[in-house]
Amino acid sequence: MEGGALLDPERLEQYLKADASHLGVHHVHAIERFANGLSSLSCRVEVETDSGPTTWVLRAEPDHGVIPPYDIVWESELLARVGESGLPVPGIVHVEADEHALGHRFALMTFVDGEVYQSLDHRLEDDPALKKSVQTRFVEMLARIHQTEDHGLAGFDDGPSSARALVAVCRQRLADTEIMPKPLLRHALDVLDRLAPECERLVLIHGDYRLPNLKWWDGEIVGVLDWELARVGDPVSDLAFTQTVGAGPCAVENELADYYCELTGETIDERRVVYYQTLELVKGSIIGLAGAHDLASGGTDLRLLSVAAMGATAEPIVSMLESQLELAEEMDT
Amino acid sequence: MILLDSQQILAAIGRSLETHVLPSLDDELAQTQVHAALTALAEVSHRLEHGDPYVEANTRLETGLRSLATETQGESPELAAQIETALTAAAGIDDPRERNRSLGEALTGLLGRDDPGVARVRQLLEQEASRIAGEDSTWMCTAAIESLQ
Repeated sequence: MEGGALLDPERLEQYLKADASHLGVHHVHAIERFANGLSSLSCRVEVETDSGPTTWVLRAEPDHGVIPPYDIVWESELLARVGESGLPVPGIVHVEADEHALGHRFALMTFVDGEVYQSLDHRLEDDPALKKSVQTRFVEMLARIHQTEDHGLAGFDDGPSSARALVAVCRQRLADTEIMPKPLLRHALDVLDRLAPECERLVLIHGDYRLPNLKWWDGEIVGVLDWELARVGDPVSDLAFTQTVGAGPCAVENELADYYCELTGETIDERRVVYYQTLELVKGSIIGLAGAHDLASGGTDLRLLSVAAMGATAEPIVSMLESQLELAEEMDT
Repeated sequence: MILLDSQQILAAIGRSLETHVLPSLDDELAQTQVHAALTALAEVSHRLEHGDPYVEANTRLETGLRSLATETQGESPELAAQIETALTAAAGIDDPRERNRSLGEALTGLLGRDDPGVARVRQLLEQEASRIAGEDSTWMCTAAIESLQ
Protein backbone atom coordinates (compact mmCIF):
# COMPACT_ATOMS: atom_id res chain seq x y z
CA MET A 1 0.00 0.00 0.00
CA GLU A 2 1.23 3.50 -0.81
CA GLY A 3 2.36 5.27 2.33
CA GLY A 4 3.94 2.19 3.94
CA ALA A 5 5.36 2.94 7.39
CA LEU A 6 3.78 6.35 7.37
CA LEU A 7 0.29 4.84 7.50
CA ASP A 8 1.18 2.43 10.30
CA PRO A 9 -0.02 4.01 13.60
CA GLU A 10 2.55 2.07 15.63
CA ARG A 11 5.48 3.21 13.49
CA LEU A 12 4.29 6.81 13.47
CA GLU A 13 3.85 6.74 17.25
CA GLN A 14 7.40 5.41 17.73
CA TYR A 15 8.73 8.12 15.44
CA LEU A 16 6.81 10.94 17.13
CA LYS A 17 7.92 9.84 20.61
CA ALA A 18 11.57 9.57 19.53
CA ASP A 19 12.00 12.36 16.99
CA ALA A 20 9.26 14.85 17.85
CA SER A 21 9.04 14.49 21.61
CA HIS A 22 8.13 18.16 21.98
CA LEU A 23 4.68 17.28 20.58
CA GLY A 24 3.98 15.20 23.70
CA VAL A 25 2.38 12.30 21.82
CA HIS A 26 1.32 9.36 24.00
CA HIS A 27 -0.50 7.27 21.45
CA VAL A 28 -1.49 7.31 17.76
CA HIS A 29 -4.99 5.86 17.67
CA ALA A 30 -5.66 5.80 13.94
CA ILE A 31 -4.48 7.00 10.55
CA GLU A 32 -7.12 7.29 7.86
CA ARG A 33 -6.27 8.25 4.30
CA PHE A 34 -8.54 10.85 2.74
CA ALA A 35 -10.11 9.36 -0.38
CA ASN A 36 -10.22 12.65 -2.24
CA GLY A 37 -7.35 14.50 -3.85
CA LEU A 38 -5.02 13.56 -6.61
CA SER A 39 -1.50 14.32 -5.60
CA SER A 40 -0.09 14.60 -2.09
CA LEU A 41 -0.86 11.75 0.27
CA SER A 42 -3.18 13.19 2.93
CA CYS A 43 -4.43 11.41 6.04
CA ARG A 44 -6.38 12.17 9.18
CA VAL A 45 -4.37 11.23 12.27
CA GLU A 46 -6.03 10.73 15.67
CA VAL A 47 -3.55 11.09 18.53
CA GLU A 48 -3.46 11.32 22.32
CA THR A 49 -1.09 14.05 23.50
CA ASP A 50 -0.24 15.79 26.76
CA SER A 51 -3.16 18.11 25.98
CA GLY A 52 -5.62 15.28 25.35
CA PRO A 53 -7.11 13.82 22.17
CA THR A 54 -6.10 15.71 19.04
CA THR A 55 -6.70 15.40 15.33
CA TRP A 56 -3.96 16.27 12.87
CA VAL A 57 -3.58 16.02 9.13
CA LEU A 58 -0.55 14.21 7.81
CA ARG A 59 0.45 15.39 4.34
CA ALA A 60 3.25 13.55 2.56
CA GLU A 61 5.04 13.54 -0.77
CA PRO A 62 3.54 10.62 -2.72
CA ASP A 63 5.32 7.61 -4.26
CA HIS A 64 3.59 8.44 -7.52
CA GLY A 65 1.97 11.69 -8.42
CA VAL A 66 0.78 13.68 -11.39
CA ILE A 67 1.96 17.15 -10.38
CA PRO A 68 5.62 16.79 -9.42
CA PRO A 69 7.95 18.01 -8.13
CA TYR A 70 6.50 17.72 -4.63
CA ASP A 71 8.14 19.67 -1.87
CA ILE A 72 6.34 19.40 1.44
CA VAL A 73 9.02 21.43 3.22
CA TRP A 74 8.51 24.34 0.82
CA GLU A 75 4.72 24.01 1.12
CA SER A 76 4.92 23.98 4.93
CA GLU A 77 7.09 27.09 4.97
CA LEU A 78 4.63 28.84 2.68
CA LEU A 79 1.68 27.81 4.87
CA ALA A 80 3.43 29.05 8.01
CA ARG A 81 4.21 32.36 6.35
CA VAL A 82 0.78 33.08 4.86
CA GLY A 83 -0.81 31.89 8.10
CA GLU A 84 1.18 34.53 9.97
CA SER A 85 -0.06 37.04 7.40
CA GLY A 86 -3.60 36.30 8.45
CA LEU A 87 -4.85 33.85 5.83
CA PRO A 88 -6.88 30.95 7.27
CA VAL A 89 -4.64 27.96 6.56
CA PRO A 90 -3.75 24.83 8.54
CA GLY A 91 -1.09 25.40 11.19
CA ILE A 92 2.15 23.50 10.80
CA VAL A 93 2.72 21.13 13.74
CA HIS A 94 5.82 19.29 12.56
CA VAL A 95 7.85 18.82 9.36
CA GLU A 96 10.04 15.80 8.60
CA ALA A 97 12.44 16.68 5.79
CA ASP A 98 14.26 13.33 5.79
CA GLU A 99 12.50 10.83 3.55
CA HIS A 100 14.33 7.98 5.29
CA ALA A 101 12.66 8.64 8.63
CA LEU A 102 9.36 7.02 7.63
CA GLY A 103 9.76 6.51 3.89
CA HIS A 104 8.36 9.90 2.82
CA ARG A 105 8.99 13.54 3.61
CA PHE A 106 5.88 14.74 5.40
CA ALA A 107 4.26 17.43 7.51
CA LEU A 108 1.76 17.26 10.34
CA MET A 109 -0.78 20.05 10.27
CA THR A 110 -3.71 21.14 12.37
CA PHE A 111 -7.02 19.68 11.23
CA VAL A 112 -9.36 22.44 10.06
CA ASP A 113 -12.87 21.38 10.95
CA GLY A 114 -15.60 22.59 8.63
CA GLU A 115 -17.89 21.98 5.74
CA VAL A 116 -16.69 21.41 2.18
CA TYR A 117 -18.69 22.21 -0.94
CA GLN A 118 -18.03 20.27 -4.11
CA SER A 119 -17.77 21.84 -7.56
CA LEU A 120 -21.14 20.28 -8.38
CA ASP A 121 -22.96 20.64 -5.09
CA HIS A 122 -26.75 20.33 -4.95
CA ARG A 123 -26.87 22.34 -1.69
CA LEU A 124 -25.73 25.37 -3.64
CA GLU A 125 -28.06 24.73 -6.55
CA ASP A 126 -31.02 24.22 -4.21
CA ASP A 127 -30.39 27.36 -2.15
CA PRO A 128 -29.74 30.51 -4.22
CA ALA A 129 -29.07 32.62 -1.11
CA LEU A 130 -26.43 30.17 0.11
CA LYS A 131 -24.90 30.06 -3.36
CA LYS A 132 -24.71 33.84 -3.50
CA SER A 133 -23.08 34.01 -0.08
CA VAL A 134 -20.56 31.29 -0.95
CA GLN A 135 -19.70 33.04 -4.22
CA THR A 136 -19.16 36.34 -2.42
CA ARG A 137 -16.89 34.85 0.25
CA PHE A 138 -15.05 32.86 -2.43
CA VAL A 139 -14.15 36.05 -4.33
CA GLU A 140 -13.29 37.95 -1.15
CA MET A 141 -10.88 35.22 -0.06
CA LEU A 142 -9.24 35.14 -3.49
CA ALA A 143 -8.75 38.91 -3.26
CA ARG A 144 -7.19 38.46 0.20
CA ILE A 145 -4.80 35.81 -1.11
CA HIS A 146 -3.78 38.09 -3.97
CA GLN A 147 -3.19 40.94 -1.53
CA THR A 148 -0.94 38.86 0.73
CA GLU A 149 2.53 40.29 0.37
CA ASP A 150 4.54 38.34 2.94
CA HIS A 151 4.64 34.94 1.26
CA GLY A 152 8.37 34.46 0.76
CA LEU A 153 8.05 33.02 -2.76
CA ALA A 154 10.52 33.95 -5.47
CA GLY A 155 9.21 36.67 -7.75
CA PHE A 156 9.61 37.59 -11.40
CA ASP A 157 10.54 40.77 -13.22
CA ASP A 158 7.26 41.04 -15.11
CA GLY A 159 4.12 39.27 -16.34
CA PRO A 160 5.71 37.63 -19.38
CA SER A 161 8.54 36.17 -17.26
CA SER A 162 6.11 34.65 -14.77
CA ALA A 163 3.92 33.22 -17.55
CA ARG A 164 6.89 31.81 -19.45
CA ALA A 165 8.21 30.16 -16.29
CA LEU A 166 4.92 28.27 -16.01
CA VAL A 167 4.97 27.41 -19.72
CA ALA A 168 8.49 26.02 -19.23
CA VAL A 169 7.26 23.81 -16.37
CA CYS A 170 4.41 22.57 -18.60
CA ARG A 171 6.82 21.90 -21.46
CA GLN A 172 9.04 19.83 -19.19
CA ARG A 173 6.07 17.90 -17.79
CA LEU A 174 4.79 17.24 -21.31
CA ALA A 175 8.22 15.95 -22.36
CA ASP A 176 8.33 13.72 -19.28
CA THR A 177 4.84 12.24 -19.64
CA GLU A 178 3.92 12.27 -23.34
CA ILE A 179 3.29 8.60 -24.12
CA MET A 180 2.03 9.46 -27.61
CA PRO A 181 2.94 12.71 -29.46
CA LYS A 182 0.58 15.62 -28.80
CA PRO A 183 1.19 18.12 -31.65
CA LEU A 184 -1.62 20.46 -30.59
CA LEU A 185 -0.32 20.77 -27.03
CA ARG A 186 3.26 21.27 -28.20
CA HIS A 187 2.07 23.99 -30.57
CA ALA A 188 -0.05 25.60 -27.85
CA LEU A 189 3.01 25.84 -25.59
CA ASP A 190 4.96 27.58 -28.38
CA VAL A 191 2.13 30.07 -28.82
CA LEU A 192 1.84 30.63 -25.05
CA ASP A 193 5.56 31.28 -24.90
CA ARG A 194 5.36 33.79 -27.73
CA LEU A 195 2.26 35.63 -26.52
CA ALA A 196 2.97 35.79 -22.76
CA PRO A 197 1.15 38.95 -21.63
CA GLU A 198 2.15 41.89 -19.50
CA CYS A 199 0.22 42.48 -16.28
CA GLU A 200 -0.18 45.36 -13.86
CA ARG A 201 1.08 43.50 -10.81
CA LEU A 202 2.38 40.10 -9.79
CA VAL A 203 0.77 38.50 -6.75
CA LEU A 204 0.62 35.33 -4.70
CA ILE A 205 -1.30 32.79 -6.80
CA HIS A 206 -2.94 29.80 -5.09
CA GLY A 207 -2.92 27.72 -8.28
CA ASP A 208 -5.71 25.32 -7.28
CA TYR A 209 -8.37 27.69 -5.96
CA ARG A 210 -11.69 25.85 -6.08
CA LEU A 211 -14.51 24.98 -3.71
CA PRO A 212 -13.23 21.50 -2.66
CA ASN A 213 -10.06 23.15 -1.34
CA LEU A 214 -11.95 25.42 1.06
CA LYS A 215 -13.34 24.68 4.53
CA TRP A 216 -16.41 26.60 5.74
CA TRP A 217 -17.82 27.33 9.19
CA ASP A 218 -20.90 29.49 9.86
CA GLY A 219 -20.82 30.82 6.31
CA GLU A 220 -17.17 31.89 6.46
CA ILE A 221 -14.07 30.35 4.94
CA VAL A 222 -11.98 28.96 7.80
CA GLY A 223 -9.44 27.00 5.79
CA VAL A 224 -7.74 27.39 2.43
CA LEU A 225 -6.05 24.08 1.66
CA ASP A 226 -3.72 22.50 -0.93
CA TRP A 227 -1.08 25.12 -1.66
CA GLU A 228 1.31 22.86 -3.56
CA LEU A 229 0.75 24.75 -6.86
CA ALA A 230 1.15 28.22 -5.34
CA ARG A 231 3.46 30.62 -7.15
CA VAL A 232 3.90 34.28 -7.99
CA GLY A 233 2.07 35.38 -11.12
CA ASP A 234 -0.64 37.35 -12.85
CA PRO A 235 -3.81 37.34 -10.68
CA VAL A 236 -5.84 36.60 -13.82
CA SER A 237 -4.22 33.17 -13.74
CA ASP A 238 -6.24 32.18 -10.63
CA LEU A 239 -9.39 33.72 -12.13
CA ALA A 240 -8.92 31.72 -15.34
CA PHE A 241 -8.49 28.55 -13.27
CA THR A 242 -11.89 29.09 -11.64
CA GLN A 243 -13.41 29.40 -15.13
CA THR A 244 -11.81 26.27 -16.60
CA VAL A 245 -10.22 23.37 -14.73
CA GLY A 246 -11.66 24.50 -11.39
CA ALA A 247 -15.02 25.49 -12.85
CA GLY A 248 -18.12 25.38 -10.69
CA PRO A 249 -20.65 27.76 -9.20
CA CYS A 250 -17.85 30.11 -8.15
CA ALA A 251 -16.27 30.76 -11.55
CA VAL A 252 -14.96 34.31 -11.18
CA GLU A 253 -16.52 35.91 -14.26
CA ASN A 254 -19.17 38.54 -15.01
CA GLU A 255 -20.53 40.03 -11.74
CA LEU A 256 -18.07 38.02 -9.63
CA ALA A 257 -15.16 39.30 -11.73
CA ASP A 258 -16.50 42.85 -11.32
CA TYR A 259 -16.62 42.33 -7.55
CA TYR A 260 -13.06 40.98 -7.59
CA CYS A 261 -11.93 44.11 -9.50
CA GLU A 262 -13.75 46.34 -7.01
CA LEU A 263 -11.95 44.62 -4.11
CA THR A 264 -8.48 44.61 -5.66
CA GLY A 265 -8.44 47.54 -8.07
CA GLU A 266 -7.40 45.10 -10.78
CA THR A 267 -8.42 45.64 -14.39
CA ILE A 268 -8.96 42.51 -16.43
CA ASP A 269 -8.54 42.52 -20.16
CA GLU A 270 -10.06 39.74 -22.21
CA ARG A 271 -6.82 38.77 -23.90
CA ARG A 272 -5.12 37.91 -20.59
CA VAL A 273 -8.17 35.90 -19.58
CA VAL A 274 -8.02 33.86 -22.80
CA TYR A 275 -4.25 33.46 -22.41
CA TYR A 276 -4.53 32.05 -18.90
CA GLN A 277 -7.59 29.95 -19.73
CA THR A 278 -5.51 28.34 -22.46
CA LEU A 279 -2.58 27.83 -20.11
CA GLU A 280 -4.81 26.32 -17.40
CA LEU A 281 -6.35 23.90 -19.90
CA VAL A 282 -2.91 22.94 -21.19
CA LYS A 283 -1.92 22.26 -17.57
CA GLY A 284 -5.09 20.18 -17.13
CA SER A 285 -4.35 18.17 -20.28
CA ILE A 286 -0.80 17.53 -19.13
CA ILE A 287 -2.01 16.36 -15.71
CA GLY A 288 -4.20 13.89 -17.62
CA LEU A 289 -1.20 12.69 -19.61
CA ALA A 290 0.78 12.43 -16.38
CA GLY A 291 -1.99 10.20 -14.99
CA ALA A 292 -1.68 7.82 -17.94
CA HIS A 293 2.11 7.92 -17.71
CA ASP A 294 1.96 7.17 -13.99
CA LEU A 295 -0.15 4.07 -14.57
CA ALA A 296 2.18 2.95 -17.33
CA SER A 297 5.13 3.34 -14.95
CA GLY A 298 3.93 1.36 -11.96
CA GLY A 299 1.17 3.56 -10.52
CA THR A 300 -1.81 1.84 -8.90
CA ASP A 301 -4.52 4.49 -8.69
CA LEU A 302 -7.02 3.51 -11.40
CA ARG A 303 -8.83 6.84 -11.01
CA LEU A 304 -6.01 8.22 -13.14
CA LEU A 305 -7.56 6.54 -16.19
CA SER A 306 -10.49 8.90 -15.84
CA VAL A 307 -8.19 11.84 -15.15
CA ALA A 308 -6.44 11.03 -18.43
CA ALA A 309 -9.77 10.84 -20.25
CA MET A 310 -10.79 14.17 -18.76
CA GLY A 311 -7.47 15.71 -19.83
CA ALA A 312 -8.19 14.64 -23.42
CA THR A 313 -11.44 16.60 -23.40
CA ALA A 314 -9.46 19.83 -22.83
CA GLU A 315 -7.24 19.44 -25.90
CA PRO A 316 -9.71 20.64 -28.58
CA ILE A 317 -10.68 23.60 -26.37
CA VAL A 318 -7.01 24.53 -26.00
CA SER A 319 -6.67 24.73 -29.74
CA MET A 320 -9.81 26.84 -30.08
CA LEU A 321 -8.62 29.33 -27.42
CA GLU A 322 -5.17 29.38 -28.98
CA SER A 323 -6.76 30.48 -32.27
CA GLN A 324 -8.52 33.32 -30.41
CA LEU A 325 -5.19 34.40 -28.92
CA GLU A 326 -3.44 34.40 -32.26
CA LEU A 327 -6.32 36.29 -33.86
CA ALA A 328 -6.16 38.96 -31.14
CA GLU A 329 -2.41 39.23 -31.71
CA GLU A 330 -2.88 39.63 -35.47
CA MET A 331 -5.45 42.37 -34.89
CA ASP A 332 -3.04 44.17 -32.54
CA THR A 333 -0.27 44.16 -35.10
CA MET B 1 -8.86 -21.39 -19.59
CA ILE B 2 -9.45 -22.19 -23.21
CA LEU B 3 -13.22 -22.59 -23.21
CA LEU B 4 -14.09 -18.91 -22.70
CA ASP B 5 -13.03 -16.15 -25.03
CA SER B 6 -11.27 -13.07 -23.63
CA GLN B 7 -14.41 -10.95 -23.47
CA GLN B 8 -16.28 -13.66 -21.54
CA ILE B 9 -13.43 -13.85 -19.02
CA LEU B 10 -13.38 -10.07 -18.62
CA ALA B 11 -17.14 -10.00 -18.15
CA ALA B 12 -16.87 -12.69 -15.45
CA ILE B 13 -14.14 -10.71 -13.66
CA GLY B 14 -16.41 -7.65 -13.71
CA ARG B 15 -19.38 -9.58 -12.28
CA SER B 16 -17.16 -11.10 -9.60
CA LEU B 17 -15.85 -7.70 -8.53
CA GLU B 18 -19.38 -6.28 -8.41
CA THR B 19 -20.90 -9.26 -6.60
CA HIS B 20 -18.21 -10.45 -4.21
CA VAL B 21 -15.75 -7.62 -3.71
CA LEU B 22 -17.56 -4.29 -3.91
CA PRO B 23 -20.26 -5.03 -1.28
CA SER B 24 -17.66 -6.13 1.26
CA LEU B 25 -15.56 -2.96 1.04
CA ASP B 26 -15.96 -0.23 3.66
CA ASP B 27 -13.01 1.85 2.52
CA GLU B 28 -14.15 4.60 0.17
CA LEU B 29 -10.92 4.70 -1.83
CA ALA B 30 -10.98 0.93 -2.32
CA GLN B 31 -14.59 1.10 -3.54
CA THR B 32 -13.66 3.79 -6.05
CA GLN B 33 -10.74 1.69 -7.30
CA VAL B 34 -13.14 -1.18 -8.00
CA HIS B 35 -15.55 1.12 -9.84
CA ALA B 36 -12.63 2.42 -11.92
CA ALA B 37 -11.48 -1.15 -12.58
CA LEU B 38 -14.97 -2.09 -13.82
CA THR B 39 -14.91 0.83 -16.26
CA ALA B 40 -11.43 -0.17 -17.43
CA LEU B 41 -12.58 -3.76 -17.99
CA ALA B 42 -15.43 -2.48 -20.15
CA GLU B 43 -12.97 -0.43 -22.21
CA VAL B 44 -10.62 -3.37 -22.70
CA SER B 45 -13.56 -5.56 -23.70
CA HIS B 46 -14.60 -2.97 -26.28
CA ARG B 47 -11.07 -2.95 -27.68
CA LEU B 48 -11.08 -6.73 -27.97
CA GLU B 49 -14.20 -6.46 -30.08
CA HIS B 50 -13.29 -3.40 -32.17
CA GLY B 51 -9.49 -3.36 -32.18
CA ASP B 52 -6.95 -0.77 -31.03
CA PRO B 53 -8.59 2.66 -31.41
CA TYR B 54 -5.34 3.98 -32.93
CA VAL B 55 -6.01 1.90 -36.08
CA GLU B 56 -9.10 3.97 -36.88
CA ALA B 57 -7.44 7.19 -35.71
CA ASN B 58 -4.51 6.60 -38.07
CA THR B 59 -6.86 5.86 -40.98
CA ARG B 60 -8.73 9.12 -40.37
CA LEU B 61 -5.53 11.15 -40.06
CA GLU B 62 -3.93 9.60 -43.13
CA THR B 63 -7.07 10.10 -45.22
CA GLY B 64 -7.26 13.73 -44.12
CA LEU B 65 -3.57 14.32 -44.79
CA ARG B 66 -3.78 12.69 -48.22
CA SER B 67 -6.61 15.07 -49.21
CA LEU B 68 -4.66 17.98 -47.79
CA ALA B 69 -1.55 17.10 -49.78
CA THR B 70 -3.62 17.04 -52.97
CA GLU B 71 -5.43 20.29 -52.16
CA THR B 72 -2.30 22.22 -51.18
CA GLN B 73 -0.16 20.96 -54.05
CA GLY B 74 -0.67 24.21 -56.01
CA GLU B 75 -0.49 26.87 -53.29
CA SER B 76 1.98 25.18 -50.91
CA PRO B 77 4.04 22.58 -52.78
CA GLU B 78 6.59 22.33 -49.95
CA LEU B 79 3.88 21.60 -47.40
CA ALA B 80 2.34 19.03 -49.73
CA ALA B 81 5.71 17.35 -50.17
CA GLN B 82 6.28 17.25 -46.41
CA ILE B 83 2.86 15.66 -45.91
CA GLU B 84 3.65 13.04 -48.57
CA THR B 85 6.94 12.25 -46.81
CA ALA B 86 5.11 11.84 -43.49
CA LEU B 87 2.54 9.53 -45.08
CA THR B 88 5.19 7.41 -46.77
CA ALA B 89 7.10 7.05 -43.50
CA ALA B 90 3.96 6.05 -41.59
CA ALA B 91 2.85 3.59 -44.26
CA GLY B 92 5.88 1.42 -43.54
CA ILE B 93 4.94 0.93 -39.87
CA ASP B 94 2.54 -1.88 -38.95
CA ASP B 95 2.12 -1.30 -35.22
CA PRO B 96 -0.75 1.23 -34.87
CA ARG B 97 0.80 3.06 -31.93
CA GLU B 98 4.21 3.37 -33.58
CA ARG B 99 2.46 4.53 -36.73
CA ASN B 100 0.56 7.18 -34.79
CA ARG B 101 3.80 8.23 -33.11
CA SER B 102 5.41 8.72 -36.52
CA LEU B 103 2.43 10.74 -37.74
CA GLY B 104 2.36 12.80 -34.52
CA GLU B 105 6.02 13.76 -34.79
CA ALA B 106 5.57 14.67 -38.46
CA LEU B 107 2.48 16.75 -37.67
CA THR B 108 4.37 18.63 -34.96
CA GLY B 109 6.89 19.58 -37.64
CA LEU B 110 4.11 20.67 -40.00
CA LEU B 111 2.49 22.89 -37.37
CA GLY B 112 5.77 24.73 -36.89
CA ARG B 113 5.87 25.81 -40.56
CA ASP B 114 5.11 29.38 -41.60
CA ASP B 115 2.64 28.43 -44.31
CA PRO B 116 -1.04 29.29 -44.88
CA GLY B 117 -1.84 25.61 -45.41
CA VAL B 118 -0.84 24.87 -41.81
CA ALA B 119 -4.23 26.17 -40.61
CA ARG B 120 -5.84 23.20 -42.36
CA VAL B 121 -3.41 20.77 -40.73
CA ARG B 122 -4.45 22.22 -37.41
CA GLN B 123 -8.12 21.91 -38.34
CA LEU B 124 -7.56 18.24 -39.09
CA LEU B 125 -5.84 17.71 -35.74
CA GLU B 126 -8.62 19.58 -33.93
CA GLN B 127 -11.25 17.34 -35.51
CA GLU B 128 -9.30 14.28 -34.44
CA ALA B 129 -8.75 15.65 -30.91
CA SER B 130 -12.49 16.28 -30.58
CA ARG B 131 -13.27 12.75 -31.74
CA ILE B 132 -10.78 11.21 -29.30
CA ALA B 133 -12.11 13.41 -26.48
CA GLY B 134 -15.62 12.12 -27.22
CA GLU B 135 -14.49 8.49 -27.26
CA ASP B 136 -12.38 8.86 -24.12
CA SER B 137 -15.25 10.46 -22.23
CA THR B 138 -17.23 7.23 -22.77
CA TRP B 139 -14.73 5.49 -20.50
CA MET B 140 -14.71 8.07 -17.73
CA CYS B 141 -15.70 6.62 -14.36
CA THR B 142 -18.05 9.02 -12.57
CA ALA B 143 -17.21 7.62 -9.12
CA ALA B 144 -13.50 8.16 -9.80
CA ILE B 145 -13.97 11.76 -10.87
CA GLU B 146 -16.29 12.51 -7.93
CA SER B 147 -13.83 11.05 -5.43
CA LEU B 148 -11.11 13.39 -6.65
CA GLN B 149 -13.15 16.50 -5.81
